[in-house]
Amino acid sequence: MTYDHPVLPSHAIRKPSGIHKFRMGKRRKPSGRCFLGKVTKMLRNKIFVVGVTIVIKRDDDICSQRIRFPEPIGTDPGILAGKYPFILAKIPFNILPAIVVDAPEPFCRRWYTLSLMILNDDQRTGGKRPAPKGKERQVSHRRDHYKDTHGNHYTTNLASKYRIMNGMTNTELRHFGELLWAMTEKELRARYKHTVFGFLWLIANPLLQMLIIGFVFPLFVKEPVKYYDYFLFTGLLAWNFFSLSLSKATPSIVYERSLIKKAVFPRAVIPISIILSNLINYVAAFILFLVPLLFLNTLTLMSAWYFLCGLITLVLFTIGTSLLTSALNVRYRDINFFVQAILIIWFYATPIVYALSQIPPRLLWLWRFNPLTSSIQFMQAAVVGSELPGPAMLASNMLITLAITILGILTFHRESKFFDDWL
Amino acid sequence: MKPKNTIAIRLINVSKKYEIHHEKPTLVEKFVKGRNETFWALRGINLTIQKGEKVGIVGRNGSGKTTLLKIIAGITTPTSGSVRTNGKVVSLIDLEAGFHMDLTGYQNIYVNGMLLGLGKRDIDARIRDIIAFADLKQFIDAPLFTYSSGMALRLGFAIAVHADPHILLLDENLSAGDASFQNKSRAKLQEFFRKKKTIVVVTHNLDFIATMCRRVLQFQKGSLIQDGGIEVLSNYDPSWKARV
Repeated sequence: MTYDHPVLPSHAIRKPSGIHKFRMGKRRKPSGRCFLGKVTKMLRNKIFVVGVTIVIKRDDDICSQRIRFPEPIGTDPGILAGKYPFILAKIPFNILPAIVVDAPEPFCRRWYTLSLMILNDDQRTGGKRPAPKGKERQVSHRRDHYKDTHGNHYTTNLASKYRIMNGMTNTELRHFGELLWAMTEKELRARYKHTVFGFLWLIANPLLQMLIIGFVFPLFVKEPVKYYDYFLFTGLLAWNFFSLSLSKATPSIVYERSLIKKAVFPRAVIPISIILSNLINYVAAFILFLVPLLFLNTLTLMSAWYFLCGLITLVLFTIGTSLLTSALNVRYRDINFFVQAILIIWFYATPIVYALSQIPPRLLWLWRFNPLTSSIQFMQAAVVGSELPGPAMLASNMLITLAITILGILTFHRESKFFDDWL
Repeated sequence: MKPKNTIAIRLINVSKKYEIHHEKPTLVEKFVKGRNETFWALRGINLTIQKGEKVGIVGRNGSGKTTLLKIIAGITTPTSGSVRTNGKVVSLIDLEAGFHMDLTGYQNIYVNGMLLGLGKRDIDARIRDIIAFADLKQFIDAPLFTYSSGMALRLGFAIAVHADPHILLLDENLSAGDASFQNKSRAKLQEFFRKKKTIVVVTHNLDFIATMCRRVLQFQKGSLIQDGGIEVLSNYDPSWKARV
C-alpha cells in the first residue's frame, strides 16, 4: 500500500486539506476508530472528492506511511476512470479500516501527524468550496444528489458544520477547553494557596453579611419575608458570585498583559476562567448551604429546575457583562472604576435584601431593566419557595441578558485583536 | 511528489498604525479630543519567507522590527494588509511571562505550555524533557516564588523550545541563565537552526546573524529597505566586518 509517485488523473487537483494529530489506540492493538471519525469530519468539509492521500507520520520521524486511495492511476486510466468520481462519504469507510488493520507494531501507542490530501474534482469545483451565491448555488445544488457511473445514488453532506464559534474547529475548541480549565485551576489554586480555612472563606463572607443585614433590615419592614435568613443567604451567595466575577474579570486583561504580549491564545479564556473559578466556588458553597436547607423542608421537586434556570441565566449574564467590560477596560481604564461604583448601587437594585413583593406595583417596571432580578428570584423560589418572576419580568430580563451577552461577545472579539496595542 | 506549500510566512502590503497615547486614555478624553496622534510603525511591507529559511532582521531602535515579529506571531493585528503563516509560531519574546508565582513549577508548565498552544497530552509527553532541560530537579514541586530569577527564566525557555514550533521568532534576548545553561540553550537554538525550522531573528548582535542566517532584512522607519544576503550587514553598519 505504499506508493511514492502516484499519477493523478489530469482533472484532479491536489490540495492539502488539513493536518491532524492523533494517537493510535492505547492498548496493544492499534485501533483507528478514534481518528476514523476525525477523518470523516475533515472530508465532509470538502465538497467533492475523487480520492485522498493520507500520510501518517510518527512524530519522532521514525516511520511514516503513505496511503493513496483509490489506487494510483497510471497503467490504464481507462479502467479506473469508471470508478470516478467517488463520493466523499463513501471513502472513509472503504479506506480507513485498511489503515487500521495494516498498522504494524511500531505504529502503536505513539503520536502521529495525519495529513490528508484531498483530490478534488477540478472540472466541477475548481478544487474550491463554492461560494454560496447565485450561479454557484446551482452547482452545489446539482451536487447534492449525485449519481456515479455505476448508477449508485449518493447524497453528499455539503454543510461545513464543523466550524463552530467564530470559525473554531474541533481541535481548537478542545484546546480552548483545556486551556480554560488549566487557567481556572490556576485561579482556584492560587486563591486558596496560603489560607488555612480554604474555601470556607467563601461561606464566611456571605454569612457575616447575612447576620448583619438579617438583624438590621427586618427592623424596618412591616411584613417580613418568610424564612428571611435563608432568602437573604441565597441572594447573597448569587450576588457574591456575580460581583466578585465582574470586579475581578473587568481588569483581568490589563493585569495579564504579560500573557497578552507573549503568546497567541484565545483571549477570552482570561475573563472566563475567572468566572468559572468563581462558579465552582459558588456551587461548592451552595452545596454546603444545602445541609441546613434540608432541615428547613422547603425544597420541592421543582427546586432543582428553578435553581438551574436561575444559574444558567446568571452565568450567561455574568459572562456577557464581563467580556464587555474587560474588553472595554483595555482602552478605557475608567470602566473598572465605573464597575466598582455601579456594583454598590446594583446590590440595592437587585431583590436580595428585600423581596419584589414588598415593592409597590407601580414601580415594578424599574426592575425589568435589571437582568439579575429574574435569576435571583428563580433561586429564591428554589430555596424558600418565594414567588417566581412574572412573564413580563422574565421576558424583558432575558432579552437584556441575551442582548448584553451578544454585545459582549462581539465587542470582545473585535477588541481582542488590538489588546496588544493598548497594553 | 506532492506540491508542498513551501511558504512559511507571507505578508502582503502590511502596515501598522499606532495611536500615540501620552497617558492612558480615558473615556472623557476620547470624546473631548477626538482623534489621537498616530504613528506608522510599519508601512507597506511585502515579505515572503520560505519554509526552513533563517532570516535575520536588523535596524535601529524603533524601526518596526519588534512590531513585525508581533504581527507574524499574531499577537497584534496589522492595520491593513494580510498576514499568512503556515505552521505553529512560537515567539521567544518574554520568557517569564505567564508564570504564576503561587503555583509550582510543574503546574506552571501546564498553564504556560497550553498558552503556547500545546495540548494537555502534548505536555504530558514532553514534561520530563522540559524539566530535564530546565534543570530544576527537586524544585519542580516548589512554588515559583521560591525560584531564583535564573531558574524561572530557564523554565520559560525550556517550555518555549519544547513547544515544537514550525516557525520560531527570536527577539533580542538569546541569553538565559548561567554559563552552562547558556551553552545548552545555544545548542538547542542551533539544533533549531539545523532543522528545517523557519526562524526569524531580531537582534543587534550582527555576528550572531552572520553566523546563523543566510538572509538579512534591514528595516528603517517602518519600511523594508534592504533584503539580501550577509552583505546587507556591512551596508547597514560599515564598521562591522564579517569574520571569515
